[in-house]
Amino acid sequence: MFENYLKTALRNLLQKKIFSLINISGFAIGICAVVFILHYVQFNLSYDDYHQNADRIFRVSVVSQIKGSDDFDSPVFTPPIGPAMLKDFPEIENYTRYRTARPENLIYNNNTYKIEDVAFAENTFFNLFSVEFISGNPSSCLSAPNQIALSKSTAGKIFGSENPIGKIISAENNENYTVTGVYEDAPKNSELRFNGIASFKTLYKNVNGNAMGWNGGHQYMTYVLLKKDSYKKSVEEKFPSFMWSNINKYFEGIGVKYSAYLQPLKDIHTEYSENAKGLKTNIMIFSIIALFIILLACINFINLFMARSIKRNKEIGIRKVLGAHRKDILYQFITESSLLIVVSAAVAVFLSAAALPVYNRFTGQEFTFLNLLNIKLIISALLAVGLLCLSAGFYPSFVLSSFQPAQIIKKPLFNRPGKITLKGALVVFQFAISIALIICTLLINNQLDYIKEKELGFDKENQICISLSGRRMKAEYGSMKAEMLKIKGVVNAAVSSGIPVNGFTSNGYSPEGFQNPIMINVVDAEPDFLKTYNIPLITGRNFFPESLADKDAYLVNEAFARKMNWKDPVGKEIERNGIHTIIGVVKDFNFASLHDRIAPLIITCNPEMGEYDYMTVKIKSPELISVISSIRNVYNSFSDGMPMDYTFIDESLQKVYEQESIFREIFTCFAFIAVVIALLGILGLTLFAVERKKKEIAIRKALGAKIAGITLLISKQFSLWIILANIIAWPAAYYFIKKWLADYAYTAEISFLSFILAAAGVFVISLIIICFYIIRAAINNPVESLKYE
Amino acid sequence: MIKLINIEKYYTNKLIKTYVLRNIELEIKEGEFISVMGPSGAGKSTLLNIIGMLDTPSNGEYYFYNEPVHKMNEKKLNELHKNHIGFVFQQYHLIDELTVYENLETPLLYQKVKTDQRKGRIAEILDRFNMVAKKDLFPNQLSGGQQQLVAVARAIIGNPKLILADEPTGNLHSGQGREIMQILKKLNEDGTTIIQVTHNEENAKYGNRIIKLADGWIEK
Repeated sequence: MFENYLKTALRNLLQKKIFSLINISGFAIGICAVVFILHYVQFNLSYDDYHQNADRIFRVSVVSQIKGSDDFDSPVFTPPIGPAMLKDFPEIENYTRYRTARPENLIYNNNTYKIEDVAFAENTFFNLFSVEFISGNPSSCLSAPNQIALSKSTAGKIFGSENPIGKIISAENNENYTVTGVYEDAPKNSELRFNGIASFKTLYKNVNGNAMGWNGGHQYMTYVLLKKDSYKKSVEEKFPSFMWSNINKYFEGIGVKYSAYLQPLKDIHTEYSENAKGLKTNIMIFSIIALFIILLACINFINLFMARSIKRNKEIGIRKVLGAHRKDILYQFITESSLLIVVSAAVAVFLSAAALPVYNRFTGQEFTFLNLLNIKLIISALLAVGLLCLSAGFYPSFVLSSFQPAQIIKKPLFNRPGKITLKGALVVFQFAISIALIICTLLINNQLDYIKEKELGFDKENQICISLSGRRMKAEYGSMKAEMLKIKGVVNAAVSSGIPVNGFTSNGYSPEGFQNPIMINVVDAEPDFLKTYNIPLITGRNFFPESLADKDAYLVNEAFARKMNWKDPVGKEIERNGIHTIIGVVKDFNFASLHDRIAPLIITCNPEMGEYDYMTVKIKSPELISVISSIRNVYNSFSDGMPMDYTFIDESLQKVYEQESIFREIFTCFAFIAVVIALLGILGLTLFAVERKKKEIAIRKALGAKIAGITLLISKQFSLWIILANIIAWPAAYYFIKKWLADYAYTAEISFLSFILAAAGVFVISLIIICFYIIRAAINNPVESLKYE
Repeated sequence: MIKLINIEKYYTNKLIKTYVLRNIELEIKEGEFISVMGPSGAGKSTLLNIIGMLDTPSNGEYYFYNEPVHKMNEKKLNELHKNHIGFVFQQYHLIDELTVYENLETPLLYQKVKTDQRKGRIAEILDRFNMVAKKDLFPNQLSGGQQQLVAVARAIIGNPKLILADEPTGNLHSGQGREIMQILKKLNEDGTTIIQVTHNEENAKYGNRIIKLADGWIEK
């Protein structure tokens, strides 16, 4: 029986090439999109689930509540919280902490290697987390100061084929490290991918106990391992009293309160990491679009299937006469739709392989085709496909199988005109999705263009930013800058503690009239900073160059003055480790991404840590290449062999929005696919409408109707559908885009034009398709269509 | 074998009943060969469809081997119809996507006949109708007469007790028509009950009883 169904299905598939093609391409693209979305979701949910103790590991995060500032949640805290928890909480089996990972310049055999993400941790790191050691002893390799364990790839980079164990490498800060272990690189789905882990004790061997105390530096991540029968909740219940006795009671007087809570290890990536919000948005938006694509494909399938039913009716009738029960017909059509979907799934496999590079660019990962072929993904994809077979196949099968054979055999069923048919509703839905997606695409592009073009309040063109590295360079930056300025083509240069790309650090300050410190962004910059970045001064004056007189003076931005409600901030005072007088106000500039409003800012010319980290060199554009090599020469004469690390400010700014531009590309691409699928559906329906109306067209023509009149007659219905679709699509698109824009502090206007454009675009293209076929049918000699009747 | 008591069929459109069949009283015995005749629109095909269980009457009682068809559910109807009744149509109604062999196979599949038996029966009937060479052809590769031959073969392959033929020779030229009628006559002689609808006096003579329909009534 099944064989019989399969034969009919296959022969039908091959005979009706256009319809098979429309359906298969729609389903294949839909399945492909779903596979990628599933993989994306699965991959992101699988972060750090490979650790043996993953279910019992939690990261300690602390919400800082400081009077006058917004609450601030961060897992980066002072170091003693871990040991104290182990002592006070019976639920805790073990803990580990590490200093947040940073890049380090490691020197071996006089070669300098810039190694990203080097952390300082304790041996317990390897007790909590599953790290596979290739050589060295995980329980002792970080026991003494100046020891380091390296990942396999890092060890390979530095030592090649040499055995790294026991070798000495030195770091920029003149510390020497003995390599005591080599471990396998962490898998891609880990938040704990360190290229090197140096012993925690190194950091503090020369420092007195203070920095290790509760009021020490906020630079440490703490993870705890709960005992097998313990619960997160019972630990968290004790946190308030724990935090009170250890830290809050001392800080209460200055209006600071810390509240700790636990973050489950496996949830960190999707819930608590820096990218969690963007990740969730991406997952949501792309899931919706993938669903839409599948839906559109299903609608095409259902509509085309139903449209063809007039022809299939005869077969159904005969089969019923031959003894088929309704159930048999149902099975047959479900087999048929399943076959189509299985073929589409096969096509989707190839499509996925072809689209993999795009996916990799989007995720920033390097997945191979084999990564996609994991069991979980295959099972969920099969489930999705199975569900699709049932849902897409069921409706038309159900309807078709219900026809009475006696009626079908005698004469075909006629569609009653003027009724709101399911087909109409589905087409309206299809148009609505297409129009809404086009509107969103246009508006998303609008917004991202706006961000790209927006005046940031500082000069971002031709600015080279160099990281200062090494003691010597940081000390002698003045002479280096003087050398830079001698280069022909260099206009200006200035050192600073940060660059206006990703935001500046913040510290607690007590402005006049404030009892307690509030968190305010700060950048340490020498006087030339304003000139180099072309940031205008509104009132007051800049710092005097090379004068110690201004070492306690502050510049502030307009946002600061606004927040303090100060009409004339010059002369006002701010307290932080002494009294600082405001000498001037600079015009607001966007020093962070455009997701945030310009925040209050303090500019000092006296770096707290005594060092600047960056030098920005403003150059004239035409001499770019030769200028960079001259800059490199100057750099090298101060660098003690460290390679120059530089970026262009405008390029770095682009990188801030890289995720967004990839988002834009993917969204546009998905929207395009969805619209194409919808239009394919319209094409299919038009073909059928024309096929069915051939006789009507011929009769009308024989009676003297003009082609234009006939075209109008048939396109009238489609036009009505498109108008209805717009009524649904506009508010939906508006709602979505409003939500999406809420994430930006600076937004482009929502242009009405985009709505009109989308509606008109869909209307015109559909009309062209419809008219093309109708006119083709209408031009035919009416006798052609009539004589076969 | 068949007993129709006061069978009526009508369609309601805007509260107006349009009758197709009225007050049909009919008894058919096993082994009869009946020709139903009458002008267009007299209700011949409707009567045939009701007897064939493809359509349900609006009123009346229908007994098939003394079983009340008018009271049966869909499943029981389907069982009865697929195991006892074969159909032949004027337009042949073969499945275009299936070959001759597969067309013949289809009713057996619905009757859930086992593979070996099925193959045997198809081979036998192909042989009997001289169509072995044509078994892998599709309907559109055959002439009208050949198609109707396949349709007849398909109708009898399940060994039905009753064959209903709706103008089986209507689309054929006289030579082919005679061939089909001969086959039906032979089947009748072998014990199969046959009811045919026809316009053709000559064909009607193959039967041993003629029922005349006019405007939904049986003419006495």
